[in-house]
Amino acid sequence: MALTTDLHPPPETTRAVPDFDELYAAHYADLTVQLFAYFGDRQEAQDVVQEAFCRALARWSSVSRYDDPVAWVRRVAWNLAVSRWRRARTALGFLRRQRVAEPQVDGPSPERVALVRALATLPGVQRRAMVLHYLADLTVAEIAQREGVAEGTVKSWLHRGRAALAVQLRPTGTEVSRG
Amino acid sequence: MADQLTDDQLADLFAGLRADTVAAVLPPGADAARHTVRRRRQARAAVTGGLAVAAVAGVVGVAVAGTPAAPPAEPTGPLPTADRSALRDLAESVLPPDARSAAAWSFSLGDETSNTAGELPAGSYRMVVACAGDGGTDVLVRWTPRGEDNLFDPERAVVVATGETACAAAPSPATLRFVTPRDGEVMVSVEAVDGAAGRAGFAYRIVPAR
Repeated sequence: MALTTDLHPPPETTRAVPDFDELYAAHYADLTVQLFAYFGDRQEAQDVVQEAFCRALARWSSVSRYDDPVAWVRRVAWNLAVSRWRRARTALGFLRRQRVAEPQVDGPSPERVALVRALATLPGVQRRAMVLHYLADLTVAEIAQREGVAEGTVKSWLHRGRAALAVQLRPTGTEVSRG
Repeated sequence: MADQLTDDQLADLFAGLRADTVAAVLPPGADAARHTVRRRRQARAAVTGGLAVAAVAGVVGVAVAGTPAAPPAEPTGPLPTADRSALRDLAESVLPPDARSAAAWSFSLGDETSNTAGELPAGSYRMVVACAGDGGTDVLVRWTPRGEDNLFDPERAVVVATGETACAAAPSPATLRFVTPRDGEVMVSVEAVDGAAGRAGFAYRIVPAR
């Protein structure tokens, strides 16, 4: 066995330690949007983001000194969502599909629903790149660093993701011929 | 092309999604997070030395041992290196010896997650753990088939077990069980929580269940 180091880069800095309440207030909703866009379930997104903030709070003396505490919370929330999704995919797949079909009184508009559904058709890496770029406002370089790939790879993911969404979300009234 | 969205239109769609969703989200609040963490600390303190295990994919067993203890200490900064080494040795000393050990590690807990990895044949395993010192830990065991380098990728590596331990001045071992469906590699990630960073030592041993 070989001892390795951490997933989370924790370089300490001399800047002011962020306040947990301020970080929560500034980022809870945005992180929820990102998780919702990727996984397609708003309540699930809210749950995992709240859990990620709880975990951040439990180790705040460490997380607060990271260069980017929000990135840590996002990664934890994302990993939690992946774990839940993997379990739910087999055990609750039917119920989840039913839930998507339910009318949403206070949910997003049909246009937003269409975007989330179109995102769900993309391969995971493309979907993640699109969400991180358009909703988390990460640059190509930042996404590449997060994913551990070359910037060109991220550009390719974004290009393919844009192309796929552009076709699926083309303006109403246009048709695409299928061979 | 007229029948496809431009990048600007796509950006507008995402901006709209963000605006709509943010407006509909009702944050539970930072105080709710504080309440959750406080409740977990109290629960953790109630089973010092024990291991609360969450089953994942139906392959994890549970074993809890331990005695009631005082609430975990508040973080007061890292201990001197010698003290941290002593806590690591103390945690290791309470693990029962087992000649069939497939893997064993002990280390001081720091700010970074401690990750240890190694190959294991397919089978059922017991992972006996102990934590000496302050605070607690979150434990995560990932598995990936031989030849696939996916242990850090949450979308590919399979989480076969998770658990929480409470650290104590007089630690007692607890057991986590997991199954590896095929020959492969396992990574054990141990993260310090509740002030364990710099103030606790952790040890584990993995042995075939039978």
